[in-house]
Amino acid sequence: MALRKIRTLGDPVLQKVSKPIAEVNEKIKELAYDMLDTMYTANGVGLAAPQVGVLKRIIVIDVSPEGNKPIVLINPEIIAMSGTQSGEEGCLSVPGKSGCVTRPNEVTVRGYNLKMQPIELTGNELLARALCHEIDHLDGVVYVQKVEGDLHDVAVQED
Amino acid sequence: MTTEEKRSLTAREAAVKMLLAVCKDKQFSHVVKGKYLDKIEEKRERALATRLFEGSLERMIELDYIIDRFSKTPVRKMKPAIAAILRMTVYQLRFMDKIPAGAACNEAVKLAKKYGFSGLSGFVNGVARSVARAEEIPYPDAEKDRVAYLSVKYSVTSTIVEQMLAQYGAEISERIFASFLQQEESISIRCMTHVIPTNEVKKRLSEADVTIESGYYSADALRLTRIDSPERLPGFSEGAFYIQDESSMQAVLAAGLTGDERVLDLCAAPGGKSLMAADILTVSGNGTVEARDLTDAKVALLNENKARCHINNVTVRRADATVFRKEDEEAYDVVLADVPCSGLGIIGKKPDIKMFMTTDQEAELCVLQKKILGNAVRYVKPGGVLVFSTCTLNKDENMGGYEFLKKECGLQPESLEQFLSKELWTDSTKDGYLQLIPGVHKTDGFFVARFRKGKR
Repeated sequence: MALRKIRTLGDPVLQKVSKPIAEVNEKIKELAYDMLDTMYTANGVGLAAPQVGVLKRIIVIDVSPEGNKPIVLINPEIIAMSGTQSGEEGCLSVPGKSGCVTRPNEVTVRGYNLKMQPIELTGNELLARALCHEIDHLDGVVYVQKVEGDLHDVAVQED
Repeated sequence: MTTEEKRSLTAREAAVKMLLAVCKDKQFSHVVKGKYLDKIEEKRERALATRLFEGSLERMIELDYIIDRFSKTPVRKMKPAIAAILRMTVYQLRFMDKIPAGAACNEAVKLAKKYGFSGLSGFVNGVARSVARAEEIPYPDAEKDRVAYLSVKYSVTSTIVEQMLAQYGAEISERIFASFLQQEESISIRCMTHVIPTNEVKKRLSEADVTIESGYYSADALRLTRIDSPERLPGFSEGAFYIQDESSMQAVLAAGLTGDERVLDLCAAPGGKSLMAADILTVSGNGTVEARDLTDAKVALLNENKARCHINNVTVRRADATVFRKEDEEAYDVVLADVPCSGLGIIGKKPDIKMFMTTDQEAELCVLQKKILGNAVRYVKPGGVLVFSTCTLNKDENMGGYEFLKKECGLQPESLEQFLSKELWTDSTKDGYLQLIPGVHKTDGFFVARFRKGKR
């Protein structure tokens, strides 16, 4: 297990467009496992490679409450979306903040797994939100550009 | 990405989230409630969230009217989150006695900041406090503009007000609108008589201190007063009864089942009519029911209810009722067609309908209904019965469907009087149809018509 350093807002790497992955070699596999470890340790539900300073098109997601359903997607592309959802969203690269973002309620994504086999995945609600959020990172987009209203501190539980 | 999804919510936060989901993302109120209420841990907070959400939704047009009198920016131009916060706050100020005005305003400001609108918290504060200070806020002048007056007073869109006035006249329309805002006095259940006899269900419920009355219009129906969660009542999990409005029971009664019929329920979910028909058939014969609906979710719901009520003579299937199925042609003694409709009869239960239903949508529904009815007619055996029902008050849909079946499909309407309780007989029941009206009848708004298909 290796944790990587999460780059935070202000780091120019977050604004850059990532390059497609041509083949899955040991380095890519190691990157994927490190990203999962990093995401779980930081209590995130998704992480994209540029967030750990690597400009490659790979994302990891796990929205299950137990944290035991990891998804790794290489060269992901959104091929269909429908509906809308507005809700709070945060990012490991913008610690301690969150903001309201409107996203499609359902998206279908095409990409490759770690065996470089093509896969297609349809997700709704939180998964759809996470897919959009992470794929945005690969194009240099951070959710703060899409926030409606202002960014605000993550509310500490009241009462 | 990170998420707050797993964090529990306060009542007001949850109410704002639910209002946003309904108003901005056009989700259904009952779906939204299922999603957010669970996230509130404390029971009292959950009750408050429910009241704030349902109340703000039910009174939204009046709330917007009040807010617009004190805000330079009209509600429709506000950011959705700000609109939701203000609506919920003004609801507390005008409709809830126990919440001090100051507290309601402070909470609104806190929420606005939390949603990232620090810059607008002063605006929220200003509007909320002006509303709190204001004395009586008059409705629009009834003499000058009757539609606006009714629309604000009963929080129904002017489109629906105009439609109801044209179809039902002023007096009945007002009774309908008033009934939408009234707390329901009782819920009705139908006993699954093949599981446990009605008397036994009655006995068990009264032992659990539930106030019971007999159904007003139907045998084996009971009315239960002031029930919070009917799912927790004795007998529910054993399938001793099914929660069903008495209006929808009339559709099955109108079918006049005797015991050995083959029944098709075309738009069956959640399943009240299918289960009631199946129960009647089990008790008095060997008849069967085929229950269909459009989506996997609805089919799952049907299966769940079927299993709970120990029904063996129902087959559940996913099928689109607008698509004709050759194998069903002239295969059923009775076809129940409870078609998708505008739902104006159940606004009391689903207040989002009165805010969002449009005449365009209604016109689209009329087309869809005729498509389904056209197929339904072909599934009835010669000499068999078709029951057409909706949960709306809109005569374009109801009488439109009735005339379509009578004139274009050549079916013969049949009097409902031998099947329905005498109290429901009207001028029209002899002609084969009944319009139930909330505020007039003690049910939801509902339409039912019975037809016989000619023998060859």
